[in-house]
Parts: sequence; structure tokens; C-alpha cells
Amino acid sequence: MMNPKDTIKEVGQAMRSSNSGHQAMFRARLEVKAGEQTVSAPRFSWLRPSLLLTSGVIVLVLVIATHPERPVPVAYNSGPINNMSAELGLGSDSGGGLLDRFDDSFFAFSEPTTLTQAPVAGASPGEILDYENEHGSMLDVKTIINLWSTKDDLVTPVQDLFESFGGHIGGISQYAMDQPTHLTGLVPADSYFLFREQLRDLVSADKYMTEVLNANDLIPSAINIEESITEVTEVITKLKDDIAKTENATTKAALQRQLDNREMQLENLIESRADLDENVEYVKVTVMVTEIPSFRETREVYDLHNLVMGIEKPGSFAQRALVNILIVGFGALQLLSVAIWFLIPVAIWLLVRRRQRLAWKDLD
Amino acid sequence: MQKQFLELYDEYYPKLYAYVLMRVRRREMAEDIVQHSFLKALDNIGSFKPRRGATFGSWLFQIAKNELVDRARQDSKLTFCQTEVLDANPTAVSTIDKFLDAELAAEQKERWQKVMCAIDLLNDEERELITLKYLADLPYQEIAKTMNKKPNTLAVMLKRALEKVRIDLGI
Repeated sequence: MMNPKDTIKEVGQAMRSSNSGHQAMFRARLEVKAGEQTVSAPRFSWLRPSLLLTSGVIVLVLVIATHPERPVPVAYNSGPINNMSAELGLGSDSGGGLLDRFDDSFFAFSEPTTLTQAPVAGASPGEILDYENEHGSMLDVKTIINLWSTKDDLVTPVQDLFESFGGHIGGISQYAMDQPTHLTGLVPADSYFLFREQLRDLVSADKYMTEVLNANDLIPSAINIEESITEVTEVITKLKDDIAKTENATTKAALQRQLDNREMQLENLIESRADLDENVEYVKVTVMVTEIPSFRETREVYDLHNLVMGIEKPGSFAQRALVNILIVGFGALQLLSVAIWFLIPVAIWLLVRRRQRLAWKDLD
Repeated sequence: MQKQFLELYDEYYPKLYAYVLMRVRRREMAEDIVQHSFLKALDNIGSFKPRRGATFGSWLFQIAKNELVDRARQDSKLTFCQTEVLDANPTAVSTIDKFLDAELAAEQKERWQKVMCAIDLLNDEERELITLKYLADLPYQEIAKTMNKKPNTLAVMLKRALEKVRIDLGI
């Protein structure tokens, strides 16, 4: 007898073709009814949520990556007081409150500061600020602090720092959310260097990496005077030693002339320092606190910093490494999102389909 | 949409008709059930979601099965096993040529009749499987969905059912 499977298939074939009359008749009726239907069965509708989520993630990543950039303070090395020594202790007829200019634009910092009239010794910080608002500042100092923490994290400690030195905050300006905050205040001149050191400590203690820029141009005249006094004193000591050791009269005379010149130079420097001590009671300090809203921008700030400052690689090694790790990690996260929401489901679907086909092939 | 649905109709009408006919053993009733199933499918085509391997075929057969349950008219006494049923209920006998409304040669009629009788003696699941596989000619993917079983289980079940048929036929 024939294989029963083949016989069953024969019967099945006969059954399927045994009612073509009704099939054709009903088809005509169905054709009319189907023409009235407008609903379509969406294909790949199961893929829609995945695609929507993937699109959402991509849009989010793009929004973050193209975050509106904050103006970069390009005046990093525009030393506002590079010629400060010329101004120290001197009166000037060119007035103009620098505070006003600070409020208008950060770039006003780069203009040389001039002195109208020395503040009265013993005046209170508030009186001095009022005075300076009207007549101009005798000494302006700019300190730019570029840090990654939020402004609120640092503004209050900086204020406290001013006050702990008997200083006074004259104004806190913040133009917009993504603009730097300026804290302008007075610090007693005799404690300014300590104030600066503590400011640096404050910044370096920030929980994120920090960068203190342009700190070396702070009251360069004072620094220069101190450094010059030290240097000239050392030279004078050495010259005196050389003179004592030299027996040759000609050489001794030459060294003596050099010594006389150096001693005159030292006297001038000491006089300048005296002028500074006498006239400068308070130092006006503006601390600009900025925050970096995105790593992309951080990198650009660094690039610009490189360009302006001529520093090859700003920031410490750990800082640069952290930035790179975060940037790479962020990229990896984006790839992972795409993989999770798109590639993995497609791969699983293909795998399952292949397994099913193999299983059915085995059955046949 | 109209065109696609009619294409599906052309493909699935013979399959569904064979399946329903095997279940109800009456031509008019089979035609009616098939007709209702397609109309219901057309009305609800918007809610059909081809997910997790479901196909139009498996969905359509599920509609037909629900229709069969609703009608509850399946007469299990109608059988091809003439000799066994004749004594109990002579009117309930169904012969293959009447069933198919076709003229068959004597040898073919006898052979088909025996095989169909052997199928009737199988249990419900095995008979359903053979009906879907060889009479309705559904692919395994749709059978698995229609019967809600895994392909491996179906393979074992089909092998066992065919073996029973062979034994019953004395092959």
C-alpha cells in the first residue's frame, strides 16, 4: 500500500480544491466589502517603539553635544596691569570708574588702570569703594578662576574669603546663566598675597579639577619690586665679595662702579616699595568665576587657552585624562544606546527566525 | 488593502475550507463558517498585530476555531470508519466520495477511506495536527501558532500520529 502520508496529502489536495465554486462566489462579495475598508495593517509596528526611543536618544545626544556655547574669556593673558609699576603711587588725571567698565564688559579689564587720587588711609572698605566708583581705582587686580563646579559652589566661599581678610565685596554681577560671575571687592594690600594664596587653595580644593589662569600677572609691580630688591641685594652681596677678593686695582674699580649702580638701583626700588606701602591700602580684586557646562566646551576652552597662552597642554595630567575618559565614555554610551535600542533587537530577531527555520526544516 | 486581503483570501480559502470541512463534516456548514471567519478577519484586520511570529494564517485559523466553538455543532459521530460505526448509527456514516462530492475510482476510494478512518481513530490533538499539516497544508510556523505548541513538540506528535496510522493500516 502507498505511504499513508502521501495518501493523506492526496485527500488534502482534493479537499482544498473541492469547493472552488463557493470560493469564487464569496470572493466577489468580499471584494466589494474589502473595498469599503480603509484600515491598513501596519507592518513593522513592533519596531516603532524601538525606533522612537532610539530617535529620542539620538536627539538628546545631539542636543547635549550642541549645547549653546558660552563666550570664552579670550582675555586670559591680557594682563591689565602689566604696566602697573608706572601707576603705583602716582596720581593721574584720567579718571573713570573701572567698576562701571567691569559691569559692561569683561574685556574692559585689559585696559590699563589709572589712579586719580590715593584713597585716604584708614578709610573703611565701603568708603573706598564709593570713592573709587566716583574717581576710579588706584589698583585693580584681576584673577580669573576657571573651574568645573557650579558657580554657587564657589561664590559663597570667595565672599567669605574676602571678609575673612577684612575685605569687602562691592558687587557680584552675573549677566546670564551661561556667563561668568564677577565678584569685585577690596582686600587690604598688606594681606593681598596671603589672600591670593588662600584663593588658590580654595580653587584647588574644589571637588573637580580646577584651573587658575593668569594668576601670575597679579600686581606685577609689587611682585617685580620684591623680586628686583631680592635680586639686586644678591648682586650687591656678590659684588662686595668679589671686591673684597680682588687685588687688581682696575678690576676692583670696575666692580665698585657696578656696585654703586646697583646700590642706587636698590635705593630706587626701596623707594618705590615705600610709595606702594604708603599709597596702597586696599587692592581691588575682581574674581571671575566661570563654569564649564559641557565637556565639549571644556576642550574648546583649553584649545583657546593653548593658543593664547602658548601653553602646550594646559591642566594637569589627571585633568586631561579625566576629560578624555569622560569624552570617550560619553561616546561609548551613545554607541551603547544605539546598540541596545536597535542592533540587539534586530540581532535577536534574526537569530530566532533562523532557529525557527532550522527547526521547521528538520520537521519537513 | 483590498488587493492584499484578496490575495490572502485566495491563498487561505482552500486551506481553511479543508480544515473546517474536516471538523464539521458538512459542506454547507463548512462554507458558512469559512465565510464568517473571513468576514470577521476583514472587519478586524486593523487589530491584527503580526508579532511574536504570528501570521495572518494563524490568526485566521484562530478565528475559525472560535467560530467552531461558538457553534458547537461538530458532530464527532460522523466518521469515515464505516465498518465500526455502521452497527451503532448507520445514518452517521460518511463516505469519502460524498464528503468530497467527487467521483472516485474504486481503488482510490477504498484507499482514501481507510486512511481517513485511521485519522479519525487518532486522538483530538493528533487529528488536528494531521489536518492542519496535510489537509490544510499549513506551514509549521502557522501550525505552531494555531495549536500553541513548540515545533519540537509538534514534530514528535506528528511522527507518533503517522506511526499510529501506519499501524492501523497494517503497514
